[in-house]
Amino acid sequence: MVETTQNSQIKDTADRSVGSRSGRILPHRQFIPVDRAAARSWYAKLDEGRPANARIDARSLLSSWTYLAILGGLIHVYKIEGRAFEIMMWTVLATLPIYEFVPFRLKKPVLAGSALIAMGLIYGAAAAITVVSFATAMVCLARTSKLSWHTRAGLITAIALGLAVARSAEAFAFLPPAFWAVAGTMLMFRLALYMYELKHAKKQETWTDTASYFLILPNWCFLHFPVVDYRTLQRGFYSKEITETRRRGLNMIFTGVTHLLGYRLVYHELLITPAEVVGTATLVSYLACNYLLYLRVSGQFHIACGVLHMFGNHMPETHHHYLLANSFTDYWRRINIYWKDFMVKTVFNPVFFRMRKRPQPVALGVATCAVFVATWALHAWQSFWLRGTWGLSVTDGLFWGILGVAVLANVQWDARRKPALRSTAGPTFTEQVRRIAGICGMLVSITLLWSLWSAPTLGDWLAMMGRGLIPG
Amino acid sequence: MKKSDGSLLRRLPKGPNSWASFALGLIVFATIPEPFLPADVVRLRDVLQRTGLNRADYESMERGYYEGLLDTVRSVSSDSGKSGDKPAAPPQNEHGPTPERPVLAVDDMREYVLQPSIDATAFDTHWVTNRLGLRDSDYPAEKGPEKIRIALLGDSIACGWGVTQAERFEEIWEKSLRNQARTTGQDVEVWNFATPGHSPGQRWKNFEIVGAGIPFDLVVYEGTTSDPGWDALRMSHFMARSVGLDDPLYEKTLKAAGFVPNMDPKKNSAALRNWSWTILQNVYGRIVDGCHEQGLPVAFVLIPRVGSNLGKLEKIALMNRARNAGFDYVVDLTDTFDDYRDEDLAISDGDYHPNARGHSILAEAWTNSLAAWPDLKSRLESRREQIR
Repeated sequence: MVETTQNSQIKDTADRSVGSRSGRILPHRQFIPVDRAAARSWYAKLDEGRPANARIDARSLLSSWTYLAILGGLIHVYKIEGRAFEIMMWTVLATLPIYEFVPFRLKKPVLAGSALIAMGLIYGAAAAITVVSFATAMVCLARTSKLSWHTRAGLITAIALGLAVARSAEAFAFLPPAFWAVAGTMLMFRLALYMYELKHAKKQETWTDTASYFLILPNWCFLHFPVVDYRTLQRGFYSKEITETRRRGLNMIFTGVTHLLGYRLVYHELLITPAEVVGTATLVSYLACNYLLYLRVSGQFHIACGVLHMFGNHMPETHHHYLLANSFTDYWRRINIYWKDFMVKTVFNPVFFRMRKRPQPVALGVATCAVFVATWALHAWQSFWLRGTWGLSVTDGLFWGILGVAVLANVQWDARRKPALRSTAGPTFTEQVRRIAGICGMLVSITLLWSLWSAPTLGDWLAMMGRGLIPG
Repeated sequence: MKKSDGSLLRRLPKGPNSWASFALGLIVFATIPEPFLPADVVRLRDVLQRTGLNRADYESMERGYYEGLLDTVRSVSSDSGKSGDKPAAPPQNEHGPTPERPVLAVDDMREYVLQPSIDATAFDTHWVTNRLGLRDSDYPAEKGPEKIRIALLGDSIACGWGVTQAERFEEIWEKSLRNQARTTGQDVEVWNFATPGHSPGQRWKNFEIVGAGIPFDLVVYEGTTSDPGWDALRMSHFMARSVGLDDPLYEKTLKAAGFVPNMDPKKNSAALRNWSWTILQNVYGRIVDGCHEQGLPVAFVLIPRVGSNLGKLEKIALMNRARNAGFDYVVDLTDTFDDYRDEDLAISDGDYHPNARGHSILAEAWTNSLAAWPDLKSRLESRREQIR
């Protein structure tokens, strides 16, 4: 039994051999005992609200960490996606054990902190400080209650447009070169979604949730990033049991890595240039391989989403077997699902509901057109911030226009069609043939559209198609 | 499943075992030594590990650079009012930097050369050229017996694209040779004939024309893994103007291919597509013959580009062609950058040109490997023997 005195000297009442005969405490006995009860209450306080899904399971963590380390080894050996990605993976591996054991309320701050560290490691301290300072200022402007929502939205829009002009004019040369792309990837879409939440949410979003939304760790190595919805991210936080969530995440990361390896095979070995298209066989080869370059995007998105899962964020998948789409609306629903949801939330639904007094085909048509105009414009917006060029061209406009018309026609057709009665016996032979024909038709259509989008000019594309289809 | 098995399975750690095994298998696959694998499997593995751009995108990037160079050529040509009939004179400006036109159009198969005697900045590189239009010091033409003079034929890396003259691997090598030669009262000059964008054949032609009548002791040819196909690409352009059709560099191949020049470079490119390796072999052969006719030993050094762009099997084929062509000394330095990150060695993101650090690393490997070249070694040591 030990009792402490004001001078922190210990007098062991039970052990008479502690001190000398004079009663002085020997040095090796002079320590300040940890107030375990106080420490436990501090941890418990911060751990309040920990759901059952977030229970600490060291064995499950070790298992997940080991599998992630294997994937990290694979990424290192095959030098997948470069230095930034490797730094991100090592940051995830280092953070995961800490993240598992911190109190529940500190999880999001720890994750945001590790995202900040990773940003600094990848882009340098100067770029990280500049980006975070600017983003903080923009988020403070978005949150301030002193201005109305519309005024804030107007100011943010004006600042964004002003920066776009400044970037085009190569002003602000004192800013680190990485500032534009990193600040762009953080804010160009997520700030709009955040403003949407501020308008419709019943209460103010906490700074912790806000920081966890803008500081997303895998974003720094994948500047071209899924448009993560704010509410989906918050709702997905430990919404399912952590082991199951992590397993799903590991599957996604592995799927993403196989996509990226497949991309390498296509890019380095199979892809030919448009100039090498001299007949039908080479045309088919080019169309297929050119489309399969999208594996890089789907691979990166799978990995990004998988990494979020490692930290308890149970998120929807980013792509769903897009090569098996059997109609244009099915394709739109399967490819880049986060973008589709972003468009539905911010463009389609508002436009459709504003037109709800009109006949449904008109409302559907206008809303669908609005979605594709917005998609075309926002892709250019994204290209500007990440690459410095708008990427607008005739072929770009034609791609989105034709795709938009096709989806519009499909939407109208689907709206008029009677829903098929689902048979308990499964699809019939005719239905399966129809489905396969639909998949083949979609593959042909999309590969053609994709090749149009990749062509420098319409003339080049027509020339290539001519060489491929017309013998001699 | 029996209840006892179920309880056992519950005790085992759960996880995505199937894909983890596949991932471990891929890691092991990456480490198996090449002799234990069939050639096709080695090629597949090489593709899966390849980073950087593919050949088409590298060529496109080169075209992007050199279109920029050629644009300045076209602007010079249009200023002179003629489409490349004769080279335009450099602007008359003795003081301060000249306008950003570091190249001159020429109407032979070199297409363009560096402007002589300029001091200008273009494409983020500071260009200072000597009276011969080489990005090098102005050496006197005469050469005494105590001087060892080496000609370096190369591309934009040897020319030092993106770095200063002093940072180039050739300058570092020259300095090292000078220090070594000084102990025996000798001097060494390395004349850098490299011009950005020149194909292997164009590099030789530039040396043939600019170096004509100038005595040399040794020639070093610097190649990269982009050599295959480069001549075919340039030929498709200058042969569209009926230039170079009867040049010994290409004559043999053109006859074998039954090549008929077309004014459309794309058609020429299509006709020559399957002859890239044959063209290269004959160009290498002509370089060796041309050097040997002048009594010049010639070395072949294959250097890396930052980020790999040629498979291992293609590289082996390239080295074999160099040996078959008869180069007196053949060195492969393509693994020099293997232990480094591309981002740390490239002049900019996605670029294959090495920065100053890359040149320094390359210079060390270059110096060490050429130190063992018997023809160079014997010349450096011959005077030492005389002194003894």
